Amino acid sequence: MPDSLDNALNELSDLPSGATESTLMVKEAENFPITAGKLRALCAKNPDHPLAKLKVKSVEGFPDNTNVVVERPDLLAIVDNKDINFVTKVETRKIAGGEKKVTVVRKQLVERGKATNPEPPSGNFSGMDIVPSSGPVEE
Amino acid sequence: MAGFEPKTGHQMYLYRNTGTTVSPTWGLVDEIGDLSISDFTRGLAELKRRANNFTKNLPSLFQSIALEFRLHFGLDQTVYEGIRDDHMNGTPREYAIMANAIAYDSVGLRCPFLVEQFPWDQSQEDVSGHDVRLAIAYMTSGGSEVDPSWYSVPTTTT
Repeated sequence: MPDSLDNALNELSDLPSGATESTLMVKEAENFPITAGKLRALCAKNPDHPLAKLKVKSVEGFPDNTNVVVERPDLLAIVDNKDINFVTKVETRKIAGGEKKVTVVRKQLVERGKATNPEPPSGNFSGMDIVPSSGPVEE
Repeated sequence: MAGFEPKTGHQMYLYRNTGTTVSPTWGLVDEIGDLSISDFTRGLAELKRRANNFTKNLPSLFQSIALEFRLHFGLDQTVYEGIRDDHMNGTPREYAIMANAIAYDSVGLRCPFLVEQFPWDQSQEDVSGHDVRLAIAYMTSGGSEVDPSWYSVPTTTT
């Protein structure tokens, strides 16, 4: 029945990109090196922000000159009084000489109280074998 | 990735997250010797049949991931006491095993670990230290289970 086959294929093509194959979860972040002392001072500018409280706790007991690295959006959220929202997107990356679809998770800044995804998705290691499968590739 | 090139472990980096999974604060763990993700194994289910002379395998679960390194005694007190306290308290914590410095253009494995072994060697003629073994841990963050993932840090724009 050609018509029903066409319909079925059309429905498949409407699936979100990457939905039919395993993907590799990649958390991507711009990082920012800072000392514990400067981090505490920065957090003191907006002490009621939940992230500021977390950051101060994360360097509790650290000498001021201890170097740490934090994610840049977190600092911006504290300074600009924003919230963090996680965005997930399937992208094609060149890995080990071949192209592979990966699920990339990034942070974006949103107005306070407007975050729809305040937590990242759980990792999905179904596509952990980043080198393309040695078996036959299914078209 | 600019830093993807042959290099020795001496030029690679281990980080410990004292923040949360959602908002990490990475501290360098650099007073260590050799490091190895010693157990990073895919389980295999053997397929044996009368109809074929070869034993073949189907992919199963990843086995328990382990990270091993030599932590020297008497250096970087903040990190040393942090790892020791995690061991004493059974605290799971995220680590990042990176190819380059985590601040710029790097990639690596990010995984929650428990300190499984923290033996203290006090040999007469060797630098005292601990052959630390970390094992993948069950950990939650904000109600979500934390699984291993790749951590990708793009070239920072500044």
